[in-house]
Parts: sequence; C-alpha cells; structure tokens
Amino acid sequence: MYQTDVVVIGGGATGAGVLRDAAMRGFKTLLVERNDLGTGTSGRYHGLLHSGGRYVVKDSISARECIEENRILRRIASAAIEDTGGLFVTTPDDDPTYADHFAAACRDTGVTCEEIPVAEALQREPLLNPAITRAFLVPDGSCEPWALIDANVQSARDYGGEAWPYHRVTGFECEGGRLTAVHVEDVRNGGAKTIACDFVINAAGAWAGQVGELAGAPIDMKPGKGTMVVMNHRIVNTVINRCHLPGDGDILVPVGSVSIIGTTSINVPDPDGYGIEPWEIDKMLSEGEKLIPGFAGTRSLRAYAGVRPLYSDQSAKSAQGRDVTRSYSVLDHARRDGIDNFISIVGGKLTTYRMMAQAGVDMLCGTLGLTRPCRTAWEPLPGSENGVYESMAHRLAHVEEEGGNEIELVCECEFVRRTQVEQVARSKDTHDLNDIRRELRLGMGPCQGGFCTYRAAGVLHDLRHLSPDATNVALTRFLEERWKGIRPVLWGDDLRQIRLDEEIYLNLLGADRFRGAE
Amino acid sequence: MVDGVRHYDAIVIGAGLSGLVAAGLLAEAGARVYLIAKGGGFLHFTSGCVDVWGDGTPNPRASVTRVSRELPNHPYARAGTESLEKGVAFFSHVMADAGYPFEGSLDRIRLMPTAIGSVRATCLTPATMSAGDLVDTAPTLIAGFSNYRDFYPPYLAANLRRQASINVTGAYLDLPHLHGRKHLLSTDLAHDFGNAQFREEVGRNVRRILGGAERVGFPAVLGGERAQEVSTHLQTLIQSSVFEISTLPPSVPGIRLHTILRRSLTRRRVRVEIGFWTGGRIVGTRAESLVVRSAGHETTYTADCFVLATGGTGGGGIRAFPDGRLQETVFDLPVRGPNDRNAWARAEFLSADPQPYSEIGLGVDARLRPLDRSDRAIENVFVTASNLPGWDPVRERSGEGVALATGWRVAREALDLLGLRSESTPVTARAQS
Amino acid sequence: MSVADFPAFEAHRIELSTDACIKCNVCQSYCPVSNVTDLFPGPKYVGPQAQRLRIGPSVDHSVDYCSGCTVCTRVCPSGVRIAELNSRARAAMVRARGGPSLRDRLIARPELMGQLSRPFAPLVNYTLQNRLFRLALQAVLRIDARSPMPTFSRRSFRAWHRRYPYRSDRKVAYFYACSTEYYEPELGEKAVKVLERNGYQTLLPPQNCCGLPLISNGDYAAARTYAQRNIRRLLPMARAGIPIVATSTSCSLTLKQYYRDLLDIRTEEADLVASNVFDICEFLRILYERGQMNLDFGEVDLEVAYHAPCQLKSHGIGRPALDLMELVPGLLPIEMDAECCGTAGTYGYKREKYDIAMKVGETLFEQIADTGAPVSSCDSETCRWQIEHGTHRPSLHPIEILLQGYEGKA
Repeated sequence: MYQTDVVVIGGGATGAGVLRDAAMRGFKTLLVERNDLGTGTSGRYHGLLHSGGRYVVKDSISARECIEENRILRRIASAAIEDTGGLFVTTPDDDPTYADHFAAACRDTGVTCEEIPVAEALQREPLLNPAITRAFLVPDGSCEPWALIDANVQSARDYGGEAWPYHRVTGFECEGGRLTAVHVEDVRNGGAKTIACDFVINAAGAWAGQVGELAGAPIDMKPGKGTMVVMNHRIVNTVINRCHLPGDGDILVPVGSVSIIGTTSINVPDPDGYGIEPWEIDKMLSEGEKLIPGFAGTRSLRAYAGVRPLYSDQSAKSAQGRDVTRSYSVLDHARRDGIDNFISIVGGKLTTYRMMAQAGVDMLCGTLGLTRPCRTAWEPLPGSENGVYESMAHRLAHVEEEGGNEIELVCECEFVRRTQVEQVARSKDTHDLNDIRRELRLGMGPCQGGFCTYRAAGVLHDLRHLSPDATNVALTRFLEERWKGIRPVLWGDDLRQIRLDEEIYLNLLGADRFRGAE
Repeated sequence: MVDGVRHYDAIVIGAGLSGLVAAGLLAEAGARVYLIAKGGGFLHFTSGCVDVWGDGTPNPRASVTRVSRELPNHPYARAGTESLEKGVAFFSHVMADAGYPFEGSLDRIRLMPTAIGSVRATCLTPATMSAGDLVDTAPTLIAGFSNYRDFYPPYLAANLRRQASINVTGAYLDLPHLHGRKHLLSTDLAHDFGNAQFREEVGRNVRRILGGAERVGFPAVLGGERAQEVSTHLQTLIQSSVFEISTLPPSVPGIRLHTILRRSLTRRRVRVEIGFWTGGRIVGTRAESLVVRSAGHETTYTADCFVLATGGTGGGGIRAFPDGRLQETVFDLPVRGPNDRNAWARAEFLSADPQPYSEIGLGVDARLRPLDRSDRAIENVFVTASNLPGWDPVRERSGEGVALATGWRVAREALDLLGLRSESTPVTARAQS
Repeated sequence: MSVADFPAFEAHRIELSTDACIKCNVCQSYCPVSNVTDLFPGPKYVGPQAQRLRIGPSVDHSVDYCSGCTVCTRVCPSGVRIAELNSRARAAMVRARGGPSLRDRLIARPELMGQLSRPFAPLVNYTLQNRLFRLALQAVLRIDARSPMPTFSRRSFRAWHRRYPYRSDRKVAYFYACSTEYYEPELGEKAVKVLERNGYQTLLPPQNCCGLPLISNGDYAAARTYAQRNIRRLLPMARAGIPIVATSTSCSLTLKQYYRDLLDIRTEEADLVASNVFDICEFLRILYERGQMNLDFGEVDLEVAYHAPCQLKSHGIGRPALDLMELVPGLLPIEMDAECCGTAGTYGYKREKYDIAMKVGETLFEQIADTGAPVSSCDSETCRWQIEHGTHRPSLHPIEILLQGYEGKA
C-alpha cells in the first residue's frame, strides 16, 4: 500500500496548485487524476488571464481576486503567460452608460484601468470595429494552462510531491469519520491501488460532486458548459472584451498563434455528457462580428467546450449560468458532513487557482493545528525565474537563430522541433500524441495534425519501441480527437484542409486499413 | 482603353489530372487550348499511382462495371467503362513517351505498401514502384534517411510484417552527404538522387545493411523526371530490386506526373496560365467568357467550350459556407448536396463509409454538362472528376481512375462540339492500340 | 459578403491571406531557391508559417534569401500571397535592422547609378570590366565579381527620342525604365519603331525608377516616394486615356500591382494609373485581337528559346510575346518550362547569393542549350543579362525580334 500525508484529487490547475503548495509546506503529497493532467476544465478554457475587469460591476469579489492573482501570476508564472494586455470596448451593440459604471467599478475594486482614445485602440488593433465609442486598457493576458500545470507539478516534485495521471478514484476507506485511504484504478495499465493517507483535498472541479458522492459528502455543483471557437490566426494581439455585463461570445483572446472567442454558458447535468450545438458556433461567429467586422468570414479551426466548476451554496440555490458567482469556496467537510480530514475546493477561475490552492492548504494546516506559511505567491515556478513572458515569437526566433541539424520542424504550423518532440516522447509521462500536443502545441495549427501526426507517431515508435498496434492506436486516436473539434466548423478552408488531410491519412498512408491488429 | 478578346477553341479550368489530360487530348486532336488554374494542381498531393477501385476486390475493371450498374450517379456510370480504358491508355502513353513507364493492368489490383506499413489497393503504378507489389513476398529492406522527417522505416516495417506476412526490416541511412542539412523535403532528396555520386553513397550504405533482403524500398524520392534511370542505376549499385513508397506531400511521384503532362501541353502549344482566380459568364445555356483577375486590370477570354476541372470541395471548385450554402466558384452553377452543414460529415474521420462532403458536386446530364437552376444543360461546359457528385475518391480508392475516365469523356464531348473528332484522330487510334 | 467588403481587412489582405493556407507544400516544391540551397527554408516556412508567429518586433533572418521571384504566390492553390508576405516581412526586418546596407542602398538605385555614371560612361565601363576593380567591389560592397554587370550607355534614350520625328494621332506613353535610359537605349529605340509600325506615336512622360529594386531590398519608405512621384507624373496620361506601355515586365508589374499591394498606396489615382499600364506585348496583342495590328512581316528564319520571366507570369496575361512571335512567318519560338533564371533583379549580384542564383538558373540554361536555338528571348532586362551570362549566347527582348520581322519585309 502506498502511504502519503495528503492526497489531492484532480489534475487541473487547482489540483496542481494544491500539490505544489502542500509539498512546499512540507506535506508528503500525491495528486491523482483520472486522465492526463490538464484535460478537464483547465485544458478547455479560453486562455484568458483575467484582469478582473469582466467582473467589476456585478461580481466584485471575483474581480478583486482576479486582479490580485493576476499580479501574482505575472510574478511567479511568466513563462506560462503572454502579456497581451486587454481592451474593454463599447460597441454600438452595448449600453453606452455601462462604460462609466465600468470605470468607477474598476477604481472601487482596484482593477488597473486606463481609458484610451478610440483612435489609439484602433491603431493598436486595426481590425477592431471602427464604430466603438470607448476603450479601456486593462492588464489582461493570455495563459497557457498546460505550461502552468506542468510548472506547478514540476515544482511540487522538487519538494517531494508526486502526481499520478491516469489514476481514477474509485472509492474511499472511511473509519470513525475519517478518510483513511483512497482507492484508485490504474486506467492505463489496469489494476487497483490503495493509497493510505491522513488528509484528502478534493480539487476535481466540475467533477467535485462525483468525488464528494464517493466520500459520502454531497456537493451541489452546477457544471456550466462554455463553448469556444478557435480562430486560425491572431486576429488581434490584445485581449478584446465587450464593455458590458458578461454575456456570450464577448471575449476574444489571442493565445499562442491563434485566437479564441468565447463563450456560451449553459448549465449541464453531467460534466462528461455534453455536446457542442450548432447555434453556439453561430452565436460565437455573430458576436465576434460585433467586435471585428468581417470576423465570421475568417477561418475558424475548431470548436471545443469546457465545463465551469460552478458551485452555489444554499443561499443562492436558484442562481443559474452567468448569475453564479465566479468566486470560489473551500468546503470543510468536517463541519458540513462530519468527515474530519476532507475538504473540497469548488468554483473559481483558472486565474485564481493559486489563491484557491492556498486557501485549501491553509484550511489543511488549520485543521491539523499547524502554522506553515504559504510561499507560492513569491517563489517563481520553474522556468519563470527570469520573469520573461511567453510568446510564440520565441519559437520563430529560436529556429531563425539556430543553425545545424536541430532544425527539423515536426509540426510546421506551431514550429515544434524534432528535438522537442523527442524529448517529450522520452518522458515517462508521455503515453500518446495528445500528451505531446499538450506539452508542445503539436497539431494545434491550421492543418490540425495533417502533417505532424504521422511524423510524431514515427518518432514515438522509434524512441519508445512501441508495438505497431500501440503506435497505430496513438495515430488514429490523435486524428479522431482533432476531428471532434474540426467537425463543428467544417466549411470553407477547413473543408479543403480536411480533404487534403484525408488524402494523406486514408489514401497515401492507409490509416483506415490496418490489418492484422491483435 | 478597350481590351481585346482572346479566343480559344477550348478553355480548361484546373490543373489536376483530369484537366491536364483533357487539355492534352484536345490539343492532340488539333484544338487551340488554353489551360488556366488557380494553383499547381492536386497531383502534388497524390500517390503518383493510378487508383481505379480499391475495396479489396481483385479486378478493378469488373468492379467499375459493377459500380456503373449499381450506382447510376457515380462518375464511372456517367463516363462509361470505355472512357476509363481510353483515358488510362492515353495517360500511359504520355508517361511511357516521357521515359516514365507505368505498369499493371485494369484487370488486377496491385497491393502496395504505404509509409506506415498499411496496404494500398491501386491499379497502375510507375515502374519505379513495381517491385513493392505485395504479391511478391521476397524479404525486404525499407531504407529511410535519418534527418528526413517524412518516412519512418522501423514503424513501416513493424506494421508491414504483420499486414503482409513478409520478412521486412526497416533502417535509417545516416549519410554524410545529408549531415547538417536543414528542412529536408522529399523534393530536396529527389534533387540529390539526380546526382550519381549521391546514389553511389546510398548504394554503399545500403549494401552494408542489406542482409538477406532481395528488394529495397525507399521513400518516393528517387529522382525527378528521370526517376526511371535513377532507379535502374540504384538497382545496379545495390544488386537487388528497388522500389519507391509514396509518402507525405510534396509527393515527388505526383509532381512527376504533373511535370510530364504539363510539358506535353507546352509542346503542343497549349498556353498554361497558373495562379489566377477566374470568373465565368453564362448567357442563357451557353458559357460565353472567362474573366481573369490579372494585375492592374481584368483580362477576358472567350472559347467555344469550357472544361470545368476545378476539383470540387477539395480543389476549390466548390466552396462551402457556414450557413449551408454551396457555391461553384467559376460559373456559380447550382451545387448538389445538403444545404445543412451538420449533414456534411460523419462522426469519424477515418470512417469507411463515404463522407457526405465528398459526394457534393454539380448536377450534370449524360454528356457531363452541368445543369443550371432550371435543370437545363449548359451546352458548352463539361464537368470532370471531383466536381461530379456521388463519389468519394479517398474511400473508394478511385481518384485517378475517375479523373482519367471523365477527362477522356469530356475531351470527346468537347471535340464533338468543336467538330474536330474523327475516328482517325490520334486520340482514338492510340486509345485502341 | 467577403473579406474584401471590410476596409480594415482589405488593408491587411496580404497578411490575412495566410488564413487560406492548407499547408499543402506546393509552394515548397516549386520554389527555385529552396530547391537549391538550405539557406532558404522555403516559401511555406517564411510565408504563411512564420507569419503566424510574427508577434512583436521582427526576428526574421532567412526571409532575406527569398529572391522575390513570385512563383510561390502563383502556384498556391489557396490564394496565399506568399511572395508578397515575404517582401513585407523583409521590409520589417530591414527596418528593425536600421535600414538597408550601403550595398543594398546602392544597387537598389539603378537610376542614381546611371545619372552619376553617364558623364563618365567609358571610364566607368572600363573600370567595371576590370577584374581587379570588381574584386575590390566584391570585397568592399559584397557585389559578386562574377555577376553580369551591364555596361552604361553613353547615349541617352530620351535625348534620342527628342529628335525622333514620327507623329501620329494615336499615342502611347512609354515607361521605358532605368535600363533603357542608362544601359540599353537601343531597346527603347526599337520599341518606338515597332509602335510606329503600328501607327502609334510614343510619348515620354517624365518618370523615374519604378522602385522595385528598393522594394526587393526592403526599403519601402524610399520606394513609396518613387511610387508617388511616378503616379503623379503618369496620371495625366491615364486621365487622357493614353495607354502606358512598358518594355520591362518587372517595372510594369510594379506599377500595376505592387504600389497597391506592397506599398499600400490605395488611391483612385494610383488605381487609374495601374489600370492604364500595359506590357508592350500585351498592348500589341490587344491591337492584334482588334484587327488593328500591322501584320506586314517579312520571313524571319529563326528558332528562339523563349523564357517567360517570373514577373511577366505574375501579370496574369498569358504569354503575349509568344502570341506575337507566332505571327511572324518563319519564326519558331519555343517556350521553356524552367521556372526562373535565378537573378531576380538585384539578388544575383549579391556576393552571398550569386551562386544560388546561378544554380537556380542552371535548369533554364540547360533547356535553352538543348533547343540549339541561336538566341533566346525574355521580356525582362536583368533576366536577359543573367541568361546571356549563363548560356553565352545572346538574349533579346521579343520587341527586338518583332522589329526584325518588320524590317525583314522592308
């Protein structure tokens, strides 16, 4: 049996943050995640590092949390953040009186905000709707969730923490109002494991209700689906927000080499059971048109949806979708459910993941009567020590400045080099091409794996000595995973792209006709 | 200043296989032909083989006959089996003439290894690929190049061992000549293979690891148009048979076809214009003219007939919009297909069943003339290949067969219209030989 | 509705064209430069791919090896303006480096070089033929000692034209370009005579260098000054409906297209000038199509290996020179299918690029030699110089061959 102080359930940003914080405070900590890290809500969000501006008018608690954490993350996680800046703009479709409320609320909540002339905003973002009447500059940014999660886990490992991806919690052992062990299933290799522990932190986000259920502590989660559309290129270099009360399709975020418009907000009963509706795509495109006239005619790449881990306590039971606060809660199951060593962290935003982790670990310390101060707000994450913000331009600069054999691009769209793929392929945490994708953005550009899937599969086969079957499965699974996102936006150039991709994978390579698989 | 009018007997729009072949046939019969295309053409992405029908049945000709009977809307049914035979004969002749012979027959499927070690069911292959036919189970070495990202011999070999029960090994050649090379593409390697010294270096290195292999498979980069010579030389050097395996674009064997076909057009004084969007004008039931968006001003062309070989939804001949609209991009002809974008694709990318988007095409009459919105045939326009509805080239493995059949058929229709066809024209004579 | 309906999108259409890229590699397989050297990673890489990552200040280096031949833009099935993207990326790179090098400033100004050299033409030519001087030039300025430097002409084409007596009601304006004025006045003289044979009097509106060499060397600001001056000077001709013809297909393409697409000059005046510019063979072919061309040719028993220069192909007007040459009895023009001669304006003059340019040209040189034709023909001057350099036989402008046809009759 495996023995640890603390088990963290959930490998999203919050879980990774808890893992790091607890490890830094001297707890022997183990994180379990049913899938790969960052495959739940954290890996399916719009990439926005909030300034808090979005919430200043209606949700001032969340706004204050966002700006505080925004400043901290810029300090500790620069390698996962691109300093794009953000604009709130009043379009002809927005209530013109909101802008003054917005500016005042920014002052009240401490969200840095500077009104700039419309001409200056248009010069900064030439494709922006020229009919906007007000423009406010805020410190929004974009954030690469997988880089952030990886850095947290890496830092935790330096402090003795451990993470087990592909381990699903199947139940708990409960003795005298305490959880004494966690049962997990090794999803990849099969088999059950039991982890004896002193404390359990549920950071399963939208799935926190399911985990609570297993522990006998019901949690009323209100998973909220949000659908986003990835546009083929950086239509803007600054985050663009509509200056109005938060609504659908009113944020456009430049992330890496693409831009993402989001989102919808729909309550769903099951965080695993939801689809993308055609109207949601249409809505994103038509709303985008209000920010960028001509937007709907530009190329989209794929659509995806995530579920927000929304939680409403008894007092706000009737709240739905956008009315549920974006702030977070730490649930003490000792008080709530009579389980002494179990807490759940629910609600919140990716931007506030660190603060949520801190609150959770603070409660852990409090329960155990320990005084161990949190240091995560000051100690930079690995890779962020020099304080340099991330930019995809670095990839171009690297290839442009380097000579020699190293320069062989496996994923040409995202400038992923062969040496990088080889390095990730060798890692024990890498099991398939999707793991490489999350690490390096492999296959996330215009051709959506059209060229790199084959190359990466070949490299993976060579380096990991995989069986042909395992390689074939990795290849076809990656293609089908890409297809899921492409299919909802399959028209125009994407349809031409797919007809080229199918020429490659079906006709040239015969990936649809493997025979003799065991 | 008023522009003049350039008039041709026939204007072919599109530089894929069907367009190039139709233009060649028309020019050979004496027509003045202009070929215009937006870009380099679809051959650059293809295997360089002639697929006819690859569903696992052994006889492509019999399959085509069956398909023509069972699926009356399939392009094979519209073009007729004779068109396929004659189109293939013309194509084979042009290739043989250029010193790049094709082998195989319409009566036998050829099973060739793919770059992941799966199996392609094709029909005719260039001679440079023939030794790869999996009917032959001789021990095989697959050789790649260590800094060439588009070919992975160990993966290929591991799959092929099981796929075809052949003794196969895969190895990378680490050639000093390629050290330090960056961004190595198939076309770069093809260039290197044009050099005898490089071939000797390859030969020496392959000999060292040949073991008991009786044939050696390379990625399809064994030289440009002179691939036949390159292959022969390599076989001498290695003292075993050598064959090519198609891999990711740019496809060297596809480019060879494009180059050979285009050169044969230039020799027949066909003017080829690559690189411009065009819009056509239809008056009543006749196509009148084509306007090319050239630099500074527009240039107008007229012709007695037009061949619309613009490649459907893959080639840019038909564009699909998010609101479900499907637009034919040259003449704005009506498109047959579901006007609901949610009905365009199946849940799985690798689905064995035809994808609805592939089956989108123009309505045509029995002579492959497109129908207008009142279902009247446009009398001097002829439609080929992927612009035709009711087929899926990729899942049927029928792309080149349909291109050649419809290319031949529209050329014959156009020649009838121009009054240029007689039984003694070289087209017919050659096709029958 | 299309992208063109939105003014902001229209202004960024070159950059936005990357959206259509499906990564198909057709541009890579055609690129004459990346096919012969690893120094240039190819049009797909520096074009639509790098463009996605051009965020903030320029970090480009390799785009400098793009020769600007434009074949990538033409063969792209998706309509991505690759060559134009590269040109703009190079301009950004040059700006980020604080402007072009002294060498690039000099070779981008053929007009200035001509003006400075004319008074001393024999001396300058003598010096330029001098191997030691060329080696010195190579060492100091990195202008390759082997490159085919044209010789300066003592005569001025404009001065010759002033004394030329032919008058007619039908008039064309002639954009004769720097090369005619300073290096090849005889080409201008022949063009005037061919136009005369067709009843057209040639006017020479004031004009200056089109600016293409500046564009190719990344100096957009200077090019824009040239462009605006030309537009001002040519506008009266365009307004009067007088066609503006040019014997250099590169200069005419610049007037027709690059002022707008590369230099962002999008005024009505510029468009009016652009729509009145014709390649001289394009113009004559229009006369032919209207039945107004003089077809009174004598027999010219000559095989000609014809190379359509890259910039002509980018006009999208077919092969007007071939169409015309086919009208001359006895004349047998044979079209070469090699893509590019390699020199691409000033590219082949640069020390670091001369070998690349010659390698690119090899296929064409071999094809020309294979025809056995005694002369070759091409519509662009720097290409002709490169072809002569690579084939050691004369290369003529198609107009010169047409004049032989007319004079063969006389």
